[in-house]
Amino acid sequence: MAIDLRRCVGCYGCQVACKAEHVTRPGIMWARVLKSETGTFPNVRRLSLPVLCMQCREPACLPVCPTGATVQRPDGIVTIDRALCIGCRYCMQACPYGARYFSDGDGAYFGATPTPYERAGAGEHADGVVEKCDFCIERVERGLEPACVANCMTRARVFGDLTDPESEVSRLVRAKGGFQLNPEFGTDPCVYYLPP
Amino acid sequence: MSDAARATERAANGQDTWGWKVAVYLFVSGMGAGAYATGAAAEWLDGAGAVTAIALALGPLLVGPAALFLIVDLGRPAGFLRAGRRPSTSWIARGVVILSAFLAASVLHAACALLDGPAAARLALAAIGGALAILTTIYTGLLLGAIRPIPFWTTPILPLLFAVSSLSTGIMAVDLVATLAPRTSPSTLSALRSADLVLLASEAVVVALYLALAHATVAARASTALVTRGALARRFWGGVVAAGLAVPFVVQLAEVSGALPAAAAWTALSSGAGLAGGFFLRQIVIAGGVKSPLNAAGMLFTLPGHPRAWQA
Repeated sequence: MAIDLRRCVGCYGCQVACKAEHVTRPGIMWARVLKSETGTFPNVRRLSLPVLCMQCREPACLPVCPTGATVQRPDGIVTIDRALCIGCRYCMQACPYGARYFSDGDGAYFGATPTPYERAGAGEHADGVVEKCDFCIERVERGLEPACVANCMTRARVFGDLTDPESEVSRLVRAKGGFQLNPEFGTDPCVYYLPP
Repeated sequence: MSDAARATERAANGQDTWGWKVAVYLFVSGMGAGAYATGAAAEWLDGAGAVTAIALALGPLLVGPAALFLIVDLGRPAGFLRAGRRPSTSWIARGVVILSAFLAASVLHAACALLDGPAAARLALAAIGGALAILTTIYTGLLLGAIRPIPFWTTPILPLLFAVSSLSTGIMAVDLVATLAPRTSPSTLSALRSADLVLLASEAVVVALYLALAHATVAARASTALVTRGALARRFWGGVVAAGLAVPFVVQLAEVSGALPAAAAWTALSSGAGLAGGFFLRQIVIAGGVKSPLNAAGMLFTLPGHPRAWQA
């Protein structure tokens, strides 16, 4: 995936689209938008940074998992086996991108009783385990784009096959000098950012 | 340093993924392993005695319950046995192996000591159990050190700090129990305190080095600021430095030199303060861990914690 920081206007649309797609519980954001400001008036700079699981080629979360719940699929997507996860949260500490969330169970958006919508999406979540973005496997396998990509109103996100040098995402990363977040951690993310 | 880095440093909070239960585990398991290591050393140097037996028994009696704190901290406590499945890559899985081996060896050894087993078997168990006890105190530092985004933890000084503090708190636990127990020889207690004086002085140096040699990154500086002058400063200066290091050092020095009359109250003071300091040390290390900010095109982004911190 490539995210063009020049196109992104920080509207939080990806964050909301992700919540709508996966019905994540309160406080859990598989996709989210971070903001940063620097400088003093009138010389200020503000930037929005949409983040999600980077589906790293060398995931920091994978080796630290004591149970083998975290796995890397042949297509590169990193997933968590809920049946194996014991909720030790070591992976959350090891992930440099804050992409992993602990689902501690209590939490409906409106009071104690979940809405019918929350109940419909409950199957994707479990208590006491860690969860995260999986590039919307369920959509990608049907030939659709991930929800955050399809919903982006400025088309800042491009999803495709980075192993194919002729794909749009590969060409964009090459042409615009795409960079990875915090490469010093050696994670080699599959999400690239195009400079603002 | 850039304005952005300065602002990020000020805004940074310690991680809230792991809380007080992890700190309790680190403290109690370190104390237990340290007490056992004291007993194992006494077995070789001093032979069987009441103090040796107390020290050996404290090992499994403290490390076992400490491990329960880790288990109840899990999201799925019932699945804790699965935590040992990947020792080839994960320090938590290695920890399961180390703790299990230590508990097995120390229970066997303590039983052997209480039942007056053959001396050769006891010395052999002391050697094996002693090595596992040291490993128990060190591996937690390596476990935290594997978390690269938190530079406060990725230093080789941390395992050393945990080891020294564990030995010292272990001795203080033995001192406290032995002073209250009947039939303990004053000369053994005095030897324990002399050893602890050396450990406390070393620990003060290691604590200073740990903070002074912290990585020169935004997150590591935020951690040291948090500990020495931020939200954790009172626990550090009052809990770790004053209660944990200064009080036991002064009291034990007075006890050893004979300036103080032998009285259980003095030992209760030095050990009580020192043990509290051992807990505060673990707490400032855990709560002081700041995650590195994300860096995009020179702009720094602090990672917000979970809105409902996992503290329950």
